[in-house]
Amino acid sequence: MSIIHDHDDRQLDEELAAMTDAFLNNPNLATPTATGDLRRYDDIVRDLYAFLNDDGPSAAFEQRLAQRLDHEWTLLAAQRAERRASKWWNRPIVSLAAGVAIVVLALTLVSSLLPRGSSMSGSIVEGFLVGGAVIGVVGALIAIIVILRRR
Amino acid sequence: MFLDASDEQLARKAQLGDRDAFHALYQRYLHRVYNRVRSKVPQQDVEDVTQEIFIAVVRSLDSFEQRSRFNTWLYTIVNRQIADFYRRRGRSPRSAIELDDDGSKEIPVAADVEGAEQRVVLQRALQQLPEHYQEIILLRFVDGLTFAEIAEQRGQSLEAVKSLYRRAIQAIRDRLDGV
Repeated sequence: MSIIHDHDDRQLDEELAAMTDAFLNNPNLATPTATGDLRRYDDIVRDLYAFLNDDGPSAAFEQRLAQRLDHEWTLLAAQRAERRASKWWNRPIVSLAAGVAIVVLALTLVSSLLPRGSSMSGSIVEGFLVGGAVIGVVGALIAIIVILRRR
Repeated sequence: MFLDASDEQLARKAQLGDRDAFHALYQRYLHRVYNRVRSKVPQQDVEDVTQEIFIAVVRSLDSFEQRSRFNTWLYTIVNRQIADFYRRRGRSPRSAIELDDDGSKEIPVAADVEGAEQRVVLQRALQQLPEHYQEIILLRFVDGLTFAEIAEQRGQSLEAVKSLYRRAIQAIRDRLDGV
């Protein structure tokens, strides 16, 4: 009994879905009169369509709302820009420091590749290289953070 | 300009500051949001609630993560704003929709009265349905999704969606029979 009932329900599910699809594909077309259980649903589908697909918003409201949203958008964009500018990684001095550090790192790398001069002692040159490398690496890290944060 | 772009692509562009992309989303969803709101709140409040929804969308656009569909995220905001509307009024949705809430300022003729009455009765019946019944009807009638698309969006089988739809229509029928 239950199996027959389930089968009937499934068939009704399919028929109602097909009837709804046919109606929504062309609401102005007169559809064949539904029969049996389906007839009970036919009016509901038509009423729902009429209720849920009214004319929609008026052109005046649509335009008014678009202007209001435009204003809101401008306001928020200004707030975002202000917040972004106030972050430490966006300050000019940080960018300048990062740039200087990158230059120092580059100079350090270049000088480490050059042949060592005989007029300078080895320990001074090495000290310069190590110090420069540390500053350069720190600077490069700051530069990477700045670039990533700005994206 | 954005005809081929998906909702999610437009939302991403809007998040990056593209005003035109947001406007395209607005154009794409205004009627659907308006009609959803119209199915749930009294006529005279539809424009106000619709406006509040879109302002909330602009303000919280950054919180949209591409993990979900844009319309799922949007309709969450729609439902929240409608709930807020009723909370502010101190009334439940089901008791708020009355015939005198229709918003009509003119003296109605007999046919208008009948139409308005029918609209309110149907709105009330729809409002009384469980949320998942309402959702399936709105997705089919307002958003124009096919049953297959609804099934995909909800992560359900096509048969389950059709069954849910039939039970939703049946539930409206039962409520209208009880009027």
